[in-house]
Amino acid sequence: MSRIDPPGAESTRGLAIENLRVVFDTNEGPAVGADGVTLEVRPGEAVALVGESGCGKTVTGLSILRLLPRPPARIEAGRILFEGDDLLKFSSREMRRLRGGKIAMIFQEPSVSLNPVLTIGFQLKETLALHTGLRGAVAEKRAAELLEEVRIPEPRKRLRSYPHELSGGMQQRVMIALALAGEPELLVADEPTTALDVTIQAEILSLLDDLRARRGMGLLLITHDLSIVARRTSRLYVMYAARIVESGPTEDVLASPRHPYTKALLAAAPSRRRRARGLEVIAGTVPPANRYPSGCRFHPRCPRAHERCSHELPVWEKTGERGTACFYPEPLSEERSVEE
Amino acid sequence: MGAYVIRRILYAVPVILGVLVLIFLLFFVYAGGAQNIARQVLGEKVRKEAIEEWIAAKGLDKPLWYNPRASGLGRFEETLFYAHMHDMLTLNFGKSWRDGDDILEKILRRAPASLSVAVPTFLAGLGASVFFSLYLAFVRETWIDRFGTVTCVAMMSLSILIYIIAGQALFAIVLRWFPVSGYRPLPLGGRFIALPVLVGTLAGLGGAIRFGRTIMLEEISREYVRAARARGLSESRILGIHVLKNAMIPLLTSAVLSLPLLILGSLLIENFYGIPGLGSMGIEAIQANDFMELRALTFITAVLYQIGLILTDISYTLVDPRLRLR
Amino acid sequence: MKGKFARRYFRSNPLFLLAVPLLFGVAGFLLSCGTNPYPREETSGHTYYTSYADPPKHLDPAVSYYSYEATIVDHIYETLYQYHYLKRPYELTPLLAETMPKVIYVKYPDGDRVRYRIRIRDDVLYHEDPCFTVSKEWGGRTRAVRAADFVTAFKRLADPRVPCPIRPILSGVIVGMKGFTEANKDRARTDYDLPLEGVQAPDSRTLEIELLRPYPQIRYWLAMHFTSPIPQEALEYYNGEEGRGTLDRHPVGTGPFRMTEWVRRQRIVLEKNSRYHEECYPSEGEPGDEEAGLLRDAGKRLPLLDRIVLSYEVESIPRWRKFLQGWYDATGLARETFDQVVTKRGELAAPMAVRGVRLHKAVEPAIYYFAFNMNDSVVGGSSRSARKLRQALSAVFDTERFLRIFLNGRGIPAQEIVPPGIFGHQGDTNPFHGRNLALAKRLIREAGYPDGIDPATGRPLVLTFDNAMNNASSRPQLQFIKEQFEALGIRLELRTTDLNTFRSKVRAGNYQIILSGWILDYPDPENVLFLLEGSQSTIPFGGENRANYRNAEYDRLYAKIAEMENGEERFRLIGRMTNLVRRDVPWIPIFFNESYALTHSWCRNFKMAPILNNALKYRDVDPEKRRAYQEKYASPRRAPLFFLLVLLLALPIAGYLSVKRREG
Repeated sequence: MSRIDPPGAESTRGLAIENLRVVFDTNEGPAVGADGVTLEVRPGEAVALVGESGCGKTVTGLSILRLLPRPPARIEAGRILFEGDDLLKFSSREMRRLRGGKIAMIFQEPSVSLNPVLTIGFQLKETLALHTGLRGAVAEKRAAELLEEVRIPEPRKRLRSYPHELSGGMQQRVMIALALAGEPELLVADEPTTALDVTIQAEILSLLDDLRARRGMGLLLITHDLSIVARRTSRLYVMYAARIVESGPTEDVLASPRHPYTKALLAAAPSRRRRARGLEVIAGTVPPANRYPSGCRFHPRCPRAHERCSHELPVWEKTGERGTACFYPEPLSEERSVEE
Repeated sequence: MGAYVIRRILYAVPVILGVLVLIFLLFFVYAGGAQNIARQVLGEKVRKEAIEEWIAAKGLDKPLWYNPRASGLGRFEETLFYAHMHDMLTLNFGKSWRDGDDILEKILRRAPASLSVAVPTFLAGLGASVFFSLYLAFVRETWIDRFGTVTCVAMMSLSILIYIIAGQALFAIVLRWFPVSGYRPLPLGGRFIALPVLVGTLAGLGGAIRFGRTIMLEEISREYVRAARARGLSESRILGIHVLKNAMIPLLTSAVLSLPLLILGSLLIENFYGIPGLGSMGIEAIQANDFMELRALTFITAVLYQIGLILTDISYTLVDPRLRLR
Repeated sequence: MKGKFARRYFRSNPLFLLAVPLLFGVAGFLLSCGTNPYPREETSGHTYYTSYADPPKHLDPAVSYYSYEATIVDHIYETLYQYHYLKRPYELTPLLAETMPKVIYVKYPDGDRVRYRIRIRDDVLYHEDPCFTVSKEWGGRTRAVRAADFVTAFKRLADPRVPCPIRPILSGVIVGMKGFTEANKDRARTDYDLPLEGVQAPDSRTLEIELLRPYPQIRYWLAMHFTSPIPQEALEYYNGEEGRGTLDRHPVGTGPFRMTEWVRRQRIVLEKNSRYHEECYPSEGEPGDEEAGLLRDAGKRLPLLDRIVLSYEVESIPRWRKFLQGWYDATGLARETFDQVVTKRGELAAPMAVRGVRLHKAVEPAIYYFAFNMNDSVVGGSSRSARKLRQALSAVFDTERFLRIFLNGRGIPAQEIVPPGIFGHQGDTNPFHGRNLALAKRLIREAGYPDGIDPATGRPLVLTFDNAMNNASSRPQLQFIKEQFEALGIRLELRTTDLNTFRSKVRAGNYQIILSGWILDYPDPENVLFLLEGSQSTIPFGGENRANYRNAEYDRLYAKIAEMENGEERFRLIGRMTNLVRRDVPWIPIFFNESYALTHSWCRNFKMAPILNNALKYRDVDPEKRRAYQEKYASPRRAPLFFLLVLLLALPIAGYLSVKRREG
């Protein structure tokens, strides 16, 4: 197996994942959850991590906060640098301080991510007490402010509500408020809108965008939906079968994908109406994580696959801001038009 | 809330009535009629006249369901079934056959002894099982967890009799921490209560911990736990507050559902440790074929069970806000 | 630093805030308990500790019938006569009476009657009781026993409102008892001013009882608590009105102890009666008593104990365990613990001997036997053939083995029907008793069934054994009986039914062989010999003679001994009856039951006396010795508790470490 050259951490600020390899010990042998993942989120920047379900994007997201259950998950190699420190070397107490503090995370299903038997106020104040030391009336006031910041009407009243008394969109706003409680510098949003209605989705996404801009915090938006990343993120990583296959400025990648997978992904999700059915259009299925094919992992499904693709792993090739891992990438935009 | 409680109580009424009919069938119909009952109580040597006299004195000479010799409503009212239902529902349990004492008085006299064992057993069992199942959930998938689970299964497979006899041998004979048996009312009698409570608690602990652990692990795998971790909450706070509060719902249910077992277990425990409570009263009534006492005890057990279920339902609504509106 | 960590830990984990003090609280409580089952404020002194399994239902001496009640009632109430504590065979001695009764034969126009004149002691006082406030003696606290109090007692036995279990027996003997019952039946309340003709008190110290016929056994009834004196004051005071309860709950007796505490299913306390009349520990007993230390307290004033504490104990295992810890001074032997206490040879096991425990044995006044139906055409009748057959069956049954296998050897093979310890017990051997196969085979050949073959059919003779031993645990016994009898070549058919069917078969005389037992009501041979008397036959008289044995000579002898005082002549006549039974074999006597008891080294004057119920007044304890024993065998072992605490405190640490390892 050949190694990919890391893009090189150019700044010590923000988040930089280098060469991350996560393995799950299962009964059917080790399954690779992330393999040589390298990505970067600069302070204040919005970055998207896109891929089909099971491709390892959530594993990557959870790895940042070290929330993967151990066992079975095991981080075999790599570094996760945040503000220059390797999080993998943190003690569990240092890690706890970081979680919900400098790095916060929100999840796909807000309805189950909130504790059903505790009030929103309790959960907010508990988090505030942990990270800011605020208690009592001060915490109450701050909790209400946070709810206001995520545009929840009547925040004081809502503090006494239980999660089931709120709509899905409101619940996700509460989750965001909880994430903001520790004044994070980076927010990892794992499919934050997948479970929500289309209209609510847009609201939440623009809320996240606003918060990012206003607070200057980094945002790692993990999604399977290419249609929502445009205009909201500045850079984009595409993941397939535990590996990053393409990266670059969002606009450029969407305009001219170089990896056949990115292209197929774009073709499969052109409109919001078909969002839910997603990637069925790509022939073949995602291989299981414990039986990845040799060579380029996309080759069984790739329309451009050559003989070489089936036994040799393509190396990471960097061209300016963009990078891809393919022996036969789509040519860059000017060449592309020729081809057409 | 009030309406809910009232509705819940109304649901219990047909159950209680059903139990009463069942008791009647068991004690009066299935037992083979007044003649048989009289012989069982009085013994075999007794003359026929004495038996007739006894049957008449106890009012057992009436027909079961329908009295053709009476007139009007009396045809139904002058029957054993009517008398039975009427007496039970008005808490008129009558006089004991074996010693002629008023049964309700007797039950009230003996209930404190039972309660002084059952209540601490219930609380200690709940507390210990919550503590240990939280602990096993905390150390899940380590050797301690495996060892604990195996121990629980081993504890479950022992019969209550073994706990009663071996518990006494261990704590009263080998360690000599408590009196072997005996009773004095609380608060002076604490040392007599200690052993039965300990034994009763231990006997139920294996199953309770194993059940609690399963519940806790189920809760731990829920999303809200991961979200709580992502906020930086400590594992012990997550277990002790977030998981526990959710787990209390199934735990409370199982605790209340184990109440009949607690009562059944107390039959043997009370008898063996000389606690003069309702459990040993039941044993004595069985030995003396005293149907009057048995039926009163059976009825009271059923009513208590219903009350327990109602209290559980009410406590759900306190624990789980989602149920509050229903 | 450390404190900071702890504070943070507690803040994030509220359970710990509760757990630690709770743990120490519980531990402290556990340490304070100890094994002492008695109230701590109680000083033991010369207290005798024992247990009871059944709370007494009745303390009224006219009503109380069960032996577990008698151990309490007979220490509170006293009778005219009692049994000698040490002498065997049992011997009656005066208690409230001054001397043995004087028997006077009185001629009446309608026949002769027997009158017993009894002189009563004048120094006997009742227990202090509020019911005596009306009396002028002793400051209204008590008064002396008078002959009239016995008349009251007998009137109560005849009172139709008092459920006296022995009324039918005494009514058939005492003049006027039936009449008193009849006269009161239709009244609203029993009138104690009505006379009871056969029981009179000519003066305060003389009691006269007149009998319809000679009945020497009346003396035994005068030693049972039914005939204890009852003060009229108590009868009037404890009438169940104004919350005063009844005599059933408030005994007012003259006995060595008075009841001071009774919590039904907790305990009963009897305290020494400080006004107890003069009575002394006997100074003679049977051979061996002196060596056993039973005469050390000879001549001392009774009672020796200050108090008796009886604790409620239902199950035998806790009772035994408390005995081992020294909380009970004496105990019976339960089946569960028999093997660890008694060796196969019937001796005390070594671990018990080390603790100073002593084993006591006593033969009970009871007999177990096979009965033949003498009306049966095969096993019954007085023909030579039938008699030889019964003799053969008697000579083939191995009683010793039966005792060894099924009763741990707790019994004495019965060679005759009068139990040892009862006057008339011959103590010689029965030629047809025990396993003698050669003799048995000869006898059955002489009976006309060579090798057990019935010549009429050419097949083995079939006999039937009716029984109600229908639970699984009796099956080995049935099998044993079958094998024993079938050693003769015959076949024994087991007919096992429920108790009801069995009883009705016996009542109808529809059986060949049964197994039965009899417990004597009083220690007189008449009470067992009557079981074979002709007029007592079940068929046709419905009596207790289940074998339906009818032998004119036996009946004649029985009539004599029944009315005879103990003496050489009586002994000789009983010997003749014994030999008649041995020859005719209406019964095969099997064994006399033996009961075992254990006492601790600090118990004094313990002699088993199955007939006596007032033995505790003779007994004593050595409290110092007892305390030393309890110190050794019952004081808590506390070290394991600390170990347990350390283990509990180690849980979080072990958990933390193992979780750390799990997360690698």
